[in-house]
Amino acid sequence: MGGLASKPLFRMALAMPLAGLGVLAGHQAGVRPWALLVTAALIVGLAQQTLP
Amino acid sequence: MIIMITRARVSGCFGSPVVAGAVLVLCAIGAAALTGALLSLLGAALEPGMRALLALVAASAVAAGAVTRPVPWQLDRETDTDWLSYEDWRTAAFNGFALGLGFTTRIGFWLFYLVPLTAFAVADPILGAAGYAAFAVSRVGGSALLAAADIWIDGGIVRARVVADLIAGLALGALLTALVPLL
Repeated sequence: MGGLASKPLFRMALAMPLAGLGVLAGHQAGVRPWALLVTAALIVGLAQQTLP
Repeated sequence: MIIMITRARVSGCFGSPVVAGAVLVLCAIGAAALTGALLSLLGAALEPGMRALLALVAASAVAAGAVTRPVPWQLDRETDTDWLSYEDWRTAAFNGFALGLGFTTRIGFWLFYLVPLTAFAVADPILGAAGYAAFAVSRVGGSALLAAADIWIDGGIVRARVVADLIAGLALGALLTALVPLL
């Protein structure tokens, strides 16, 4: 999964629909920047626990 | 993290690893809050339309980067190892400050850019400080807790990067939606 996930084409194929979903979800939910800030802050902080 | 906290213990002042850990986390929160507030002030100094436009350009650049590169634009380094040699409160304080800022060391995940970007976009120093501080609590506080629990995630970086970068695509899309009406 790690090797495949580093391939640009694979990443693009996965990320583009997700980004589109994000646009749709943001539009439907009326997402505010501050809500994203807090969510991203918590997610990235937790994800960074795995940094070597 | 364990090394940082252990080296920060000094007799008489910070004999306890709990106190050393608290200094580390509090310095990280302070640095993060200051950075978030400054970014928000920078955003507030601009006209709303210009602010939204700049944030959109930055979000688009990050989105393009997240799609094409597995490793984000980052300073490929860790905190200064010389700080470990102090073996007093400075070890915890300096490392906490650097880790709280986030961008002075390896960030690892594209999603990180959402933190400074949204702090700039909300243009409210209190909110910007609170949001960036939430990152510091999660990042450094989480590490301190993991160090306390002595947990090691084998191969976690690869798995986490895939998941976090996909979330980054989703979140950046949502951010674009939130910014467009401001133009």
